[in-house]
Amino acid sequence: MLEILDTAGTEQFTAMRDLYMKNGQGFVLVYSITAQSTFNDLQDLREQILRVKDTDDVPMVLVGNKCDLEEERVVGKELGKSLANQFNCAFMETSAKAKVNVNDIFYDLVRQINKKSPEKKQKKPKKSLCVLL
Amino acid sequence: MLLKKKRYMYEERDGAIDALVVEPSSNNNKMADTREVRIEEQLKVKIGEAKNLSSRNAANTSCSTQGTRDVYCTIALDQEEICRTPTIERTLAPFYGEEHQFKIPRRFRHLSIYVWDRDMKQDKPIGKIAIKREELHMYNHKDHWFTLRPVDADSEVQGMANIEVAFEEHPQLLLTESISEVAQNTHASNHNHNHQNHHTHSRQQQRAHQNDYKENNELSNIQRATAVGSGGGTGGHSAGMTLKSRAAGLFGHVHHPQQHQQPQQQAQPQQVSSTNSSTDQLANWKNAHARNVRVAIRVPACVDLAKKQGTCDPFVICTAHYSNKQQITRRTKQRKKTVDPEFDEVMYFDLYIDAEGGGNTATTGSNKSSGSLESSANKAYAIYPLGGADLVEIVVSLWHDAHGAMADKVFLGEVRLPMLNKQQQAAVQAAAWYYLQPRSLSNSSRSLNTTPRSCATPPGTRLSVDSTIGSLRLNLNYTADHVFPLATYDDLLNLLLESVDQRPITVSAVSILGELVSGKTEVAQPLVRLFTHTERIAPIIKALADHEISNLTDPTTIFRGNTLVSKMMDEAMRLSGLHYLHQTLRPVLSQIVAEKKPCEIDPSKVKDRSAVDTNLHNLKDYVERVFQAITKSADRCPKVLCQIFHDLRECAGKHFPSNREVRYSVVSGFIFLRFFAPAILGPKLFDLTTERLDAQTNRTLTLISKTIQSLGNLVSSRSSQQPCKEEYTGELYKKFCTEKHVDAVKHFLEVISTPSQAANSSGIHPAASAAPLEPVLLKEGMMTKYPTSSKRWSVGRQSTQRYFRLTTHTLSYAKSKGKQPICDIPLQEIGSVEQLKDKSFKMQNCFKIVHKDRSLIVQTTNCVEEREWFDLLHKICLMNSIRMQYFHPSAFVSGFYSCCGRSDENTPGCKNVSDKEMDYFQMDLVTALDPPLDLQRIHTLIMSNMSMLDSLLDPLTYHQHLPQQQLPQHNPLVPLATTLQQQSPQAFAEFKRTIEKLREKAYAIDRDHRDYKQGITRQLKYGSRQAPIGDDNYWHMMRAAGQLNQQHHQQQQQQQHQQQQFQPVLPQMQNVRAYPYQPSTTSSSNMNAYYLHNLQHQQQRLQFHHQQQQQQQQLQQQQQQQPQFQPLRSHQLQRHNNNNNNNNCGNASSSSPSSTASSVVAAPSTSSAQAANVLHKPAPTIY
Repeated sequence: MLEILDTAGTEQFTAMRDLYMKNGQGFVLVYSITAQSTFNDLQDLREQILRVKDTDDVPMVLVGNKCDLEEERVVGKELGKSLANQFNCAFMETSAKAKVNVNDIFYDLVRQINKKSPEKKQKKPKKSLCVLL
Repeated sequence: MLLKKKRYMYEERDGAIDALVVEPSSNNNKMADTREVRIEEQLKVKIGEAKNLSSRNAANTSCSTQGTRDVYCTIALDQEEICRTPTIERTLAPFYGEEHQFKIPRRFRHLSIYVWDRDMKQDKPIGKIAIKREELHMYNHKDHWFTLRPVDADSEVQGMANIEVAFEEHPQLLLTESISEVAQNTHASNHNHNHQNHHTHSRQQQRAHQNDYKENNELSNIQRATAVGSGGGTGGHSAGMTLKSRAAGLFGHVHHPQQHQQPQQQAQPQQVSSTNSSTDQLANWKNAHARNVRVAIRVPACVDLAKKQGTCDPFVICTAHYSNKQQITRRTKQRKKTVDPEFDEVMYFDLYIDAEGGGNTATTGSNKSSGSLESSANKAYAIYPLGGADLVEIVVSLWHDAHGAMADKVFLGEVRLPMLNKQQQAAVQAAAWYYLQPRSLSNSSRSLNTTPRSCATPPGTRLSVDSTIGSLRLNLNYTADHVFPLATYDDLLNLLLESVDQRPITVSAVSILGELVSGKTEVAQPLVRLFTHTERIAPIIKALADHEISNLTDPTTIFRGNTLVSKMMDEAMRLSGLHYLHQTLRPVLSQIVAEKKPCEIDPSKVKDRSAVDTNLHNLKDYVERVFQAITKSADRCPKVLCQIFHDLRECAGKHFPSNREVRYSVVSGFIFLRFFAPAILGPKLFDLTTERLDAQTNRTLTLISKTIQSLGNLVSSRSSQQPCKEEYTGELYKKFCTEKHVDAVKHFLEVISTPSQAANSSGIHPAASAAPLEPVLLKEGMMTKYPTSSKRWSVGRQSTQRYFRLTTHTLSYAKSKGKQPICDIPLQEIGSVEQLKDKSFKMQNCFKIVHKDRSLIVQTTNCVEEREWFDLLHKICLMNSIRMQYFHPSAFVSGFYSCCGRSDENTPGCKNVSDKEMDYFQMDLVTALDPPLDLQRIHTLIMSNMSMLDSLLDPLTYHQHLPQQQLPQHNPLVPLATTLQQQSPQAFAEFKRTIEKLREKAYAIDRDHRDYKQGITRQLKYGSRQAPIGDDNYWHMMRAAGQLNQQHHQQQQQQQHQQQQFQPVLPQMQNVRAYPYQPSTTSSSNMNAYYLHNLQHQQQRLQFHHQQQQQQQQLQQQQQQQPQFQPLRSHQLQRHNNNNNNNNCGNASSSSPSSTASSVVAAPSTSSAQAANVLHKPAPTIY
């Protein structure tokens, strides 16, 4: 079974966040291509995950969301790619609204998790920064 | 600014001069003056998790599950436990995720985290982490894995010792001189007392001197009064001196006066050793010391020794190591039940022993001491040497006498004094404070282990592989602020307050700050407190929110991001709404926690499917109760929050006139999503409970929180269409998605967003407005109560453990938690609350509550608890009209008060009750605000981000169209500035003006800081009580004050040179050598601010340096003019010193950081006249 957890962005929940990071096996780092600040925050978030996990090798996908709003874009696709390069992880741009690439994120992530520890069944939280409803 | 600078400098000087003239008793106002700069240290520790803990010994069968442990952690300042986590059972990788936050009330060296294994008989430490105070800031804000180190009795060390060393030449020299010196010393120390500024220290020093051995009874009352008046270590000094000179008079032992003079000239010998280049100086000096035959060691005072098993009966062992491996050991008598002992005994060691003479000397030594007053105390025993040998080193160690326990003595710490040759001997200060160090193994009988003794884990993110005991993940956040009086921050405060009326709000200081600082919470917190204090919180939030909403396209994402305004709302609700939250949720939450009914409704998580129905019923019941509690609380919502919610609703209505729901959702998005729901989910974070919550309760609370959150969203039609994300919650929502509930929520939101009719916009008096309602709990916990009702107060009177509860109405205590209170004191009847001098009670962490005619002495478990209780009670008493004016800080013992000596117990107090300005404290106790501290935090934040402000004033920033990833650091203000520039040139000009003002105000305050630190650095002496030898912080301090710059190479050369000679006493000085300091980009410690300042403002620094040089020259002239003040020997040294300084091109500090015993004392270029007075003068604590 795949358990997906959308972590709340609010600061009060940081104590919870710790537990999610400890238990999570794979992470989806999501930013909005229309907001630079969400992109900037990912560096710290990734670092925090690696610190909690105490390893460099954590299954991870970098996702630029809201790609349907091309006219409002402030974070270029190249920027996302280069960050993914730096993170050494997969990258894709998605639109939750238009259902672009959403399933691919999870296929890719689960593949990464299985490659890392093939013998067991996995569960995995998703780390989402920009909350969409 | 120059004027201000002078002000601080002159205060320091005046103080030094006053010490000579003014009578000690009339110096009270001076204390108030110098107290104007205080240091506020705060520490936040998150204990994350441990892993790879070593498993329990398999042979231990008392535990059912093999190998695993029951693990908890404690946080300690040095050896004093501050708080502990709950125990996680049967694991080797416990997860805590606990956060502890407190103000640090006293000086400490290490923050220690111990990991314990709970056991039937006695809990055993698995390992520990110790981080030096001065290294704490390096770990700020980020999680780190720390390798646990074994807990070793040899390294469990804290406290410091004052050690006097005298080399004796002519045993029959000058008795009279000795005595006159004594008189002078006593005098000087009296004055010094009045300059004890920092409250921690004055408290430590205020301890009365009640020595518990009989010799002291011979001291007349006058002497005792002197000792009491002079306080602390220096007081002990004078008493000891008197005693010793009397002994000398009787038995003909006389110490060479040099011993007494040296404290006044301490600068000199160290300078000598710092430069060994000038050979003829050295030759002179050697001549002066050629006749030294023996050394006398005395330990007049120790402070803050570690308690072992709750007690401490300390004594000193001195061991002299000779070059032929011989050891001579002497010890003092033990002192009973004190962590601040004073030892009068003098221990003598010969500098040279030979085959026969060595034995003789040792024997005479013990003969002499047996003839002296301290005969019984000086148990000397010697191992007779076989051949001639030189003294190599003297080890002064402190021990606890553990009568009859497993070990007869427990190690408390040691100080090593190398004495191999003249240079080393000269490098030892005649009288200095030393930090006690862990026991080094090299000379003991243990195996030679060369691993470094430091327990601190080196900085680094990844776990090193060599962890055998395990490791612990921590997130630390340590801040230390030098807080100046409010007036210092006036300009900055006004600039911030102007923001309210500036339009567009983006050009205001508040908004710029919000963009500038990456950690929004960090800046939101002080801002909210400041604006709440000035009652402008509602307007500023309104202005910021209006701007944010105006940029919004989709109303459903309103306030969903982490922006300044949403963070400020969080903080405002926390600050002003905490009482309200407690009143609303505490009763129902404590029921839920106590009942522990299972509420799991997820079928995949329940073993027995049939239980789901019962659980659902339980959950529905709980949710209903919480829902009722919240929706019925609307009337009690603090006025200031109502005003803010009202403004938010107006803003939303203005920008989305056609959307009816957003007016509710904008309020529910805060009150439910960011206030009630998190509080239910993590009641500990909001102080709603102190208990450990088990997994099931946590799950219950999570489910309740989720449901309440959904109910809060009911007002938005979209969410009511698909209220549940999980199937199993369908049943639950059916019950709550009704008209009735929607109406209740709407009604609640309506009421809390309607400002009160009685235009009481201040609104920060929820205590007053809620007066007829239930009292709110402020603090509770176990403390020890000592009764004082009968005539005499004596040690060992029966004390009782009581559970104290402080509410907004009363202070009560009961036998245990939940029991009926034995005594209930209305707060209005508390006359005064004062901290007590520790020493006269032989107890720590005590304070006294005066209630009508009787008083209550209460002891807390640790210093943090004491401060928290005391602060709360103290603030309450400030508001009590019947507050007393005077009190006695010491106990009534043996028929008189040890503080003032009066024999009538009912005499009015001898000391003014400490007064703090009333306007610091709002009526609301919990929201007691401290504007200077908040302003200082903001200042620190500005300084640490100054480079970004600077770059905005650089026109190139806007013309270069560099791709952003090529910028070394992303500047969040640039996009904002560019937008402003495009939109309106006026606004852009305004924006730049604000930035200029911010810079200007910040630098102005920063200049005060630097002046202050320089003033202290100039006074501070390495080896003084404020900067004990072995204190790395001293170097940080020197560096922060800009004293250690340039001459880098020269220093390094010196270091290398000296390291070869003084190896054994070297402190760890890597940090200083790493200069120029590289500020870490993420850490915003205030120290970094100074470095940024340094690096980026070369020009200012040059100016500054120029000033320094001038001062230096002046002072050198003074020094040269007044050498006659010094005796001959020091005069020679003085010359030497000047040479040294000249070599260093007039740099204010010629100090070489590596030499413990040398150099730095020479650095502060005080005139010699000043030096004579200042040496004993304790500067305010440095951190």
